[in-house]
Amino acid sequence: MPSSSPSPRKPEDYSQVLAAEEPCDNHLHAFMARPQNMRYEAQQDGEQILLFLRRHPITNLPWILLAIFMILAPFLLLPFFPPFAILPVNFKLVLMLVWWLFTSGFIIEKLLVWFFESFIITDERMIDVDFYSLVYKRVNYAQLEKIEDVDTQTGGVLFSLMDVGSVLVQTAAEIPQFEISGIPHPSKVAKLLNELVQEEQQEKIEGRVR
Amino acid sequence: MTQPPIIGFLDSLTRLQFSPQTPLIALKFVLLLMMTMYALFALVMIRQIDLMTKTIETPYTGIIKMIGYIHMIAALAVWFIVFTVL
Repeated sequence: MPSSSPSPRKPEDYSQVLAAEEPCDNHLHAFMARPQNMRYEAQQDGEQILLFLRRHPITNLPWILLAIFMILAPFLLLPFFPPFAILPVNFKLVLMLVWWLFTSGFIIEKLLVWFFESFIITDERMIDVDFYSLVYKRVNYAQLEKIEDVDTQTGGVLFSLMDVGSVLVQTAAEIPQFEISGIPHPSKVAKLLNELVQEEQQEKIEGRVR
Repeated sequence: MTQPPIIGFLDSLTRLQFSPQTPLIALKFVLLLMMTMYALFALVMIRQIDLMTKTIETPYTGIIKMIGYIHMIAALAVWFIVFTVL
């Protein structure tokens, strides 16, 4: 009977990756092992988040450069735009204000997507959270026991230097493939997933299934 | 008696004769339209933040929601500036 079966082991007991990482309480990190004070929507009682991943901050560089250009654009471009010069001063100021408001909206939107688009690994399953538009989200779940194969990819000089890459997970779940791109330490993520799959198999053998 | 800005604005729309002011009135109208749409976008962003913070709960939930509301207030403030200053 499940109630009389031995209790599950602590994740750091069977995972070298988690044993090497301190629990993380800085929620701005892209690689958070055992994050503190964090929950996801469909988290079950007793289910523990082991790893929370989001894209590495370096992947934000293109839009950050664009945002800096947008902030400076009124000073850089408007002197070369003759119709702007003939506008009254109040129109010039308001147009710049409107432009900077649009820029702030762009920055907030990009930051939100970076902050919340994530890949979560718990002791029971993995969850891929994607936000495609303003009000559309997609959350894919797969039980750890359904994982069939885990691959990693790293490409590019900068990404190799920063240890940023992708993890591809083949599953027997409804979603056959999970691709998590631009995450830090992809090899650690792959190693953790393999350790968790092995533990799931061990739990079944020893009758420690929850 | 000073008439409210809305009356002056609507009045200027009804007296559309081409004058040096006409392009500026048109520009104000376009800006008002853009800002109205942007205020709606800011409202949708608040809804999006609500959706996101429910999906993943972190200690930053309050700060993120506040950013959304500040952005919304800024959008309304700029709408008001466009309406009154121009």
